Amino acid sequence: MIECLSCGKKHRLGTLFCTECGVYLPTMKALRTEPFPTDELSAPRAAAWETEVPGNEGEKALPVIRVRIVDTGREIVLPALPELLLGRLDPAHGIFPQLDLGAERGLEMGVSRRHAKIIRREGRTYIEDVGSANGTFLNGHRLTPYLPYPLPQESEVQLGRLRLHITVGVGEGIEKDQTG
Amino acid sequence: MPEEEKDLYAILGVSPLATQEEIRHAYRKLVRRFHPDSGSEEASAERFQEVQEAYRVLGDLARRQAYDRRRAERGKDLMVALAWDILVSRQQLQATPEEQMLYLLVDLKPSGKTAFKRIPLNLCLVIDQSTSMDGDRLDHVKAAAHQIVDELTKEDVVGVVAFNDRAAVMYPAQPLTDPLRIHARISSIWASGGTEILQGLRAGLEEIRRHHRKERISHLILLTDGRTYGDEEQCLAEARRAGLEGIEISVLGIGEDWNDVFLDRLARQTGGTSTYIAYPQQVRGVMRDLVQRLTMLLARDVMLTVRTTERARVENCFRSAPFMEYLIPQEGAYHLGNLMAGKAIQVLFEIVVQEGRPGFHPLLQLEMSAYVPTFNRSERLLFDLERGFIPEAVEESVPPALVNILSRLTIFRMQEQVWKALDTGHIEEARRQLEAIATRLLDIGETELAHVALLEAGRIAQGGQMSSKGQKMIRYGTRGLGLKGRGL
Repeated sequence: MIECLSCGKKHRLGTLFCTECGVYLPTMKALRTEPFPTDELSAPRAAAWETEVPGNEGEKALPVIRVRIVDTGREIVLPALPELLLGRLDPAHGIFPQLDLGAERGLEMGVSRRHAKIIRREGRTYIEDVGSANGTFLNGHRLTPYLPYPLPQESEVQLGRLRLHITVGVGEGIEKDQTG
Repeated sequence: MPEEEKDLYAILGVSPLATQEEIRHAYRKLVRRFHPDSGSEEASAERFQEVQEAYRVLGDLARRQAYDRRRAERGKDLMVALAWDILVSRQQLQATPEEQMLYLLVDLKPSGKTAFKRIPLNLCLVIDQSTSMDGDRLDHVKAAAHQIVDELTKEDVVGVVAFNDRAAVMYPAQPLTDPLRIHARISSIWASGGTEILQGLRAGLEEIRRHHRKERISHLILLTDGRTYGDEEQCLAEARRAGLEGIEISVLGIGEDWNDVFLDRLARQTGGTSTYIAYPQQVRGVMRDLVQRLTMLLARDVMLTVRTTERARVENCFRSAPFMEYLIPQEGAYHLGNLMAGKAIQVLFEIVVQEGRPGFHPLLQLEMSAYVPTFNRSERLLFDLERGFIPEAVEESVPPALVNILSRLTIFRMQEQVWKALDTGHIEEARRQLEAIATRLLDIGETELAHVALLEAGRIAQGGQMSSKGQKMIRYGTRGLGLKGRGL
């Protein structure tokens, strides 16, 4: 049996898609043995839609992901959603990354439209290459596509040739206009 | 050498589509060339004997048909109308007492090597002329009907029925020899009254039955924008009867108010389909496509039969193209209806396999059969699925085409669960499913449909139900996902 990471439904060996939530199962094989309860995930899953959602009920400090573009020094603070897509905006194809690197010369630096995902599960943070053309590197090590790797508190991540410094932390840094 | 090894048509130098007369003619010519006593330069006892052998088979219609069938079954024949590609999710399986899932994608299509012959139509348009059709809707339907008539030929039979609370035969079904009159009759359809589909359906089927022959394609097109009340069961019974007789019904539903669940069932009874038309301007295009597809019929009564061994069973079966649907076997066979030239039929099987012993084991045999009117005969294809079972866990990549189709099919299945949840009052479940669908739709780039799903999820959260338009858009939108997937 294999278990869907996203909703906990059990499937037969060799099953490719979860019939409950539609997730492609083979890409979660690394975490197959640590399934997550359905009830805990249903709420944040819906939130993955609306990037402006978090922060409204939380008086407590929320975890955030700080991304610094190494070449330009620009810093972006992102709420730690269950899933953050890193890539380039392409509305025509329905690709809306939470972190759009189009403005950071993403195209010429070899960033794919759907490049990598930062995933949060049970308080831990992972990074996963989602089949990018030019690869994702974590501290100089190239990631196997579709395999989530634990993201350390501070790390050097490279999308194609674009270098990012990523810090997983607690966020007093979320700006009010971002949270809507 | 068995006769199958030789191409008898090539020996006589005729096309496999040749008539008996043409074969006889070719034979006579060759006899004059090769007969040892003919005195011709090419005289050869060997060639002469070959020609005679070929004619012994092809000159006799019964023997020729048997020969055609044997050629078709071996699948090597150039004149086979149908061909298939089969993709399997795994090349190897694990030898384990646990059950495993195996996906089998069957892509059935025209072989592309046959000459295609247009088959005449026996068509009846059944047009809703109730008050709600007044204005744009009826105008566009009439324009579409005019255009269809212009594109048909003298060999086709056409009839036109208009209905509201009762039905009027505007143009009795007959060969299309007087287009001016039928145009005039179509123009004289006016809107008034209510909608009673049974009336129109009965009158239309009656027109079709008068000209129903094996060598024509009998098809009824029902155009409506409203609901019928109280006669649904009778309508379905009529459709069932028509289906058994070999008459197909297509439904074109305009706008938001027609009952898609009921009319879709009605069409399915006969092997036909229903189409959702959001805007009256689309009627023309949709209807034209439909009629064009009808005249492109390559095979009918397409059927798949699966014979599993004790270690395999079919868990589910879906059609993924030209539209998506669950397939339910009847007496062990999956009925797929018609195959149109230029269009593929795609079927996905979910097979559950269980085998603990390593080794090479047969899993199942798949058989396709269909009737090909152009050749006036049936065709058959066979495929034996065997797989090696190894003790270790299997790590291998899945064919991308299969993943692509499956991702779309999964959305279609999730959508079916939404209706089920809504029907049984599981509102929260339906909302959650719809949101998940929206996520998956975005994943595959279906932004527009994703937004509809999200919007409807919001509606469910607020009022516990979806809008009629949203329901139709999602139902018909996901059904068509398979088509778009093919191009990727």
